[in-house]
Amino acid sequence: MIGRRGWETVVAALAALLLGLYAANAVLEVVAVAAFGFLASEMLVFERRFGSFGPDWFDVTRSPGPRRIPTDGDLATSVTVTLRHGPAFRAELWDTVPEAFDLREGATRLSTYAVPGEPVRLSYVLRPRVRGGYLVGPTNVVATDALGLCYRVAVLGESRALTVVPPTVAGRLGRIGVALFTRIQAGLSMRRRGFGTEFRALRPYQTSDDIRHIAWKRSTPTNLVVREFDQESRQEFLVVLDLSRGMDAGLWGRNALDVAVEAAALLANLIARSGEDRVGLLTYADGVYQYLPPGRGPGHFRRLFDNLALAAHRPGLSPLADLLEQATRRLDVRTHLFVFSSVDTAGAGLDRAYASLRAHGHRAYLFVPDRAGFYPPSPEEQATRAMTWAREEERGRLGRALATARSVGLTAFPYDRRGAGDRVLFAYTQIRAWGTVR
Amino acid sequence: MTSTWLRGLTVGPVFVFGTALLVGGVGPWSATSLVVAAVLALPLLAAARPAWLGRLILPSIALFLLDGALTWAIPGFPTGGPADVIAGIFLGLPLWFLGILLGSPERPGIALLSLAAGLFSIVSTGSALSSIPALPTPTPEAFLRAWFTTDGHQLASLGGALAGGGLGSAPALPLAGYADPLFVALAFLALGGTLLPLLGTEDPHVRPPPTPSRRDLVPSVRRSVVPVLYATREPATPPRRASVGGRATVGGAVVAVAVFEAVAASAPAYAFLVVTLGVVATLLLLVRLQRPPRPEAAPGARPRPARAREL
Repeated sequence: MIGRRGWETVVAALAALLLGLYAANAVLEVVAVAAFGFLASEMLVFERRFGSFGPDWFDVTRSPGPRRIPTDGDLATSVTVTLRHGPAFRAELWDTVPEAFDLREGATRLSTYAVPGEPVRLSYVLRPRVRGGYLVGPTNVVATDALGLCYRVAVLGESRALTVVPPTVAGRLGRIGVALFTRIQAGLSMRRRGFGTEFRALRPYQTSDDIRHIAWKRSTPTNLVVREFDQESRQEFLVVLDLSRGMDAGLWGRNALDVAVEAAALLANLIARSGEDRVGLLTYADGVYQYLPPGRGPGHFRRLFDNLALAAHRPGLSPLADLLEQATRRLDVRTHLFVFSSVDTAGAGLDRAYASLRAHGHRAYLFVPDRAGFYPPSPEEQATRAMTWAREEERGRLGRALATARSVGLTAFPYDRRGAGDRVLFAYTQIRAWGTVR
Repeated sequence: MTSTWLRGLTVGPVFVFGTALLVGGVGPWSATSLVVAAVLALPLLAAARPAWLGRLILPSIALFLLDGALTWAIPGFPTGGPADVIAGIFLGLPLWFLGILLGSPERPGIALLSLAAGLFSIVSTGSALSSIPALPTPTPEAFLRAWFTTDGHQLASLGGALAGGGLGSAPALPLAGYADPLFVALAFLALGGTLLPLLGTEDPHVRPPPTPSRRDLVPSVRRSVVPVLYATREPATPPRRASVGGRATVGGAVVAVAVFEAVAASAPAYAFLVVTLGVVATLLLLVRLQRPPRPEAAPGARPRPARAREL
């Protein structure tokens, strides 16, 4: 292929020939002929030698690597290209890397001189910025002639699919509350007092006890006793993600859905390390989009994290009433629902849907994005006041959404771009300790 | 020595020769002519900062427009102030071409075109000066009169050649005879200085643009130092120095010139015809060769069926 520079010089040489022809001057014509001969011979030789330039001229080896990495992990990779046959040439190699990856070390591009039999290696370290599915590669080789007039491109090898999952923060929490220890880790007996259904013992009544737990037949007017129950040894959790456009607020890589996914991943990590509880995933936009029943085990968590990594916005609305109703239909055992929704539309019959959910023994905790808090303050904000107005509008909307949810008895937490992890951790700790969020 | 200095030292002398030809051969120069020439020489500053070239040639473009307007508006040969302006343009023209050549290190096409046009301007100036009757020192007005006359004769001779039996039977072409030995030597030095530094350079347009950074949208919080997964740490290959090459290119130029000289010596009337045919054949061959190869059909693939006839 003749590049832009090549065509430019050819046109210039032709113009020089025309000037020489107009002047009919031997000096001008010889200069123009020499220039044209110089350029044309280089192009002709290059195009003749590299006519069949292509991927079959090379051997490509990509270093082994993982299929999935967390957003706060680094990926060290390398690709080795060896010219199998053909003439040596000036080469430029570069590996195609997604835009959402930061280059931490090394270089994805190398200008060198390719010689047959001598391997050329690109080695670099990447860090993804945003969860999602990506392709790394293929590797490209550009051969150019000595004057930079012509080039040929070969695309080598296949792309590698890479899933960037939310960060694994649970492993690095530092000191965690006793409630988050597994029973074996904490040295506790397998049976604990709690709010389960299995009877454990009777004990004297205390003023903080729920009056409904008094064992009336065993009690006397002067000595009230209450029933104690075991805590459920295995609890079910369901992460519910609203994928509607209402969760699109915020900057790229840090919008309401991204923060919700990060918090959901934290919950899944906590559950994974407990070894007892089970967690599932339900995504919703204009109806249920995905449903992964609660489960555990490496395969289940891998599937769960992959789906969290690829959760993306979808068209349609997410009325909270229908969302709760659909979740209730799909759950068989008592489950704690962690619902991340913008609650743009509560939907008709929210109180009925929530009452049905409670009647089946489920509990729901609502996490509502404070969309005004997903945009950092900007210098122009004071000048135009448009952003200030928008923030006020959004705060009003959030207040109405929270009021609607709380009016039917839902426990609701607002969150912003700083994350929802602390709220999720609080709720999960409460559930592990008391069986519900107080 | 930097490449800019090297280019300046190899390419500059022929343009300085062209300017000296006018400065030494014509006089006295008015202040207007000298100012106009100085304005035209402004692109020389682009040798230090190629990015300035666009802005530096703007005043000279205004002067060229003024020159065109004067030439059209004034009947006959210009005299007085207009003649000073036009003569100043002729005086500064070689330096203008030199400035564009030095200010386009990444654009060899522009540089080559500037060289060819600059050499042409020197040939036309030299031919005009040699046609002036022997006087102690011709004035700029006399030079302009000679230049327009020479150019008119050149056009008339070419018209006659086209209408008659070709270059072989054409009357004398005024520009054809200019071949000062110093000019010839400096012209080839300038050609070498324009083309040979291209060896080992590359076309920036072939490289794909770097992916735009979106660092402004990066989440602001990183929790802690993170581990490196699969830290194979295979070292990257250091870049290898490319062979400069250039044997084929220089050889091609030598062969092209030798063929042209041989044809010009044996059949001068057909030399330009041979050049034209050779150029056309080379361009056709280049276009043919630069096509990417067709993808080979997969083994076992059926040949494409003939198009069904529409009923």
